[in-house]
Amino acid sequence: MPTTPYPFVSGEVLLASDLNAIQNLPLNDKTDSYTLEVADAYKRVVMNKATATTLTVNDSIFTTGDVIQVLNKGAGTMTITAGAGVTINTAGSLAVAQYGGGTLVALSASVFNFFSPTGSSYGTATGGSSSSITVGGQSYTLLEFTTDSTLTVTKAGLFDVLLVSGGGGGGAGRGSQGGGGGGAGSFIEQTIYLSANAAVDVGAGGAGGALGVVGTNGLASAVGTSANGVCGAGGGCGGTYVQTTNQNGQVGGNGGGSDGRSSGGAAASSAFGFNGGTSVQSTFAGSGGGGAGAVGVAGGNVSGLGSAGGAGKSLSTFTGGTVVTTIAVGGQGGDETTTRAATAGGANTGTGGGAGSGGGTVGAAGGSGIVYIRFKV
Amino acid sequence: MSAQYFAQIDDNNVCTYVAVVQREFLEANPQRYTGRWVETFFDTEGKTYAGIGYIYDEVSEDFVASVSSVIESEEESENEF
Repeated sequence: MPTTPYPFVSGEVLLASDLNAIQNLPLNDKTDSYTLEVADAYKRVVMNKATATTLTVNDSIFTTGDVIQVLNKGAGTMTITAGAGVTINTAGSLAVAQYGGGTLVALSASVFNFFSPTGSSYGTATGGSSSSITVGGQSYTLLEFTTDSTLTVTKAGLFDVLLVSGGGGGGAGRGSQGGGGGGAGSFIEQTIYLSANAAVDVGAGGAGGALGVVGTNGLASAVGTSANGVCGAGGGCGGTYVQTTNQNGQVGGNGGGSDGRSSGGAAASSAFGFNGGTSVQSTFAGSGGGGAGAVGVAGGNVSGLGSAGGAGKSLSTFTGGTVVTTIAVGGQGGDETTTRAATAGGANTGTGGGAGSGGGTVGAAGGSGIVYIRFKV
Repeated sequence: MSAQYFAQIDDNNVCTYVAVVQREFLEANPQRYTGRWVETFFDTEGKTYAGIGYIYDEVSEDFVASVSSVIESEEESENEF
């Protein structure tokens, strides 16, 4: 990779070629998602991939005033992503469509501004149930999809997407041990570029576990294809006792909770959500499933009652309004010995199914997911 | 309009996918919903909501959990602890 002579050092004799060279920034070509490094300051990072990528900016890599130019020449949308502890502000969007680009300026080691004078503007589309919303003083059209459908793109451009996938089924209880609550479906916000109609898939919830039968994971919600869209992950089903084995909670968008004697499932990735709870076995009460906002509560509490699922997340930062609606909550763990019936996750909430109790009740199904798409007006 | 749920089943009547979709949309988009689909019912008394791997019983028009998943009988479990 060519290097620029900048920064110059004390005592250096500058040549005309040095001064000319700083007008010709080196290119750093990337063919997959990439995390910026200190050497990228005062260079152009060029992404080139047919499917979606991320360009991650981590804390304490750059110093105040550093500038990084970014370009996207691939067909997949490149999303500039803030690492832990980093804030990236922009008047436009952090999603950069093909042939778009802009300039990242470090205002401190952890705060950046992204200028995108040639960036893509928002598109327009129809589909689902439409309403007008205002978020942070910005007006949007909001499209809500509660079942599979098609997004009809009437003008190519950027679209903000909020996907909630289906919740996992709750585990059954039996033999004086509660089942694990189902994990919530993943809760993902992303801005994508669409130039053509796109399929909208609403993930179904997973089935609850019957006696001696493991439940099933929730299914993913998605918009578009892997090349231009975004896809979530269904919640993991809760643990249960099958034959002579305590089945752990399953991996999912958010992990399923453990039954009275097992381990909770993990989240598919930290970007998707949180783990299910793991039993501490003071009693054999079940753990809660992972929620979009927190891990499931550990089971085995001394009361013998099942533990709560992990907290969900609020929709209001995306959909606006003053009413806080929380979805994608983890499923409730099952009690150690009662015969309390499990509660299913609500339709279009992505909530995990509640678990059955040790007295022999079955697990409940997870709730189906939901998809919101908005664009500026 | 409340959501409907349809399960895709293979030649052995095993559920391979569950979609949240209105019947009209499913029937109007055969290229998207290939194969056989039967309705399943979410949180409805007397009906088993399908999960992947569940088997469709054409007589009862309902789903049952996969036999391979049911690896102990109710009686076997009663004295486990």
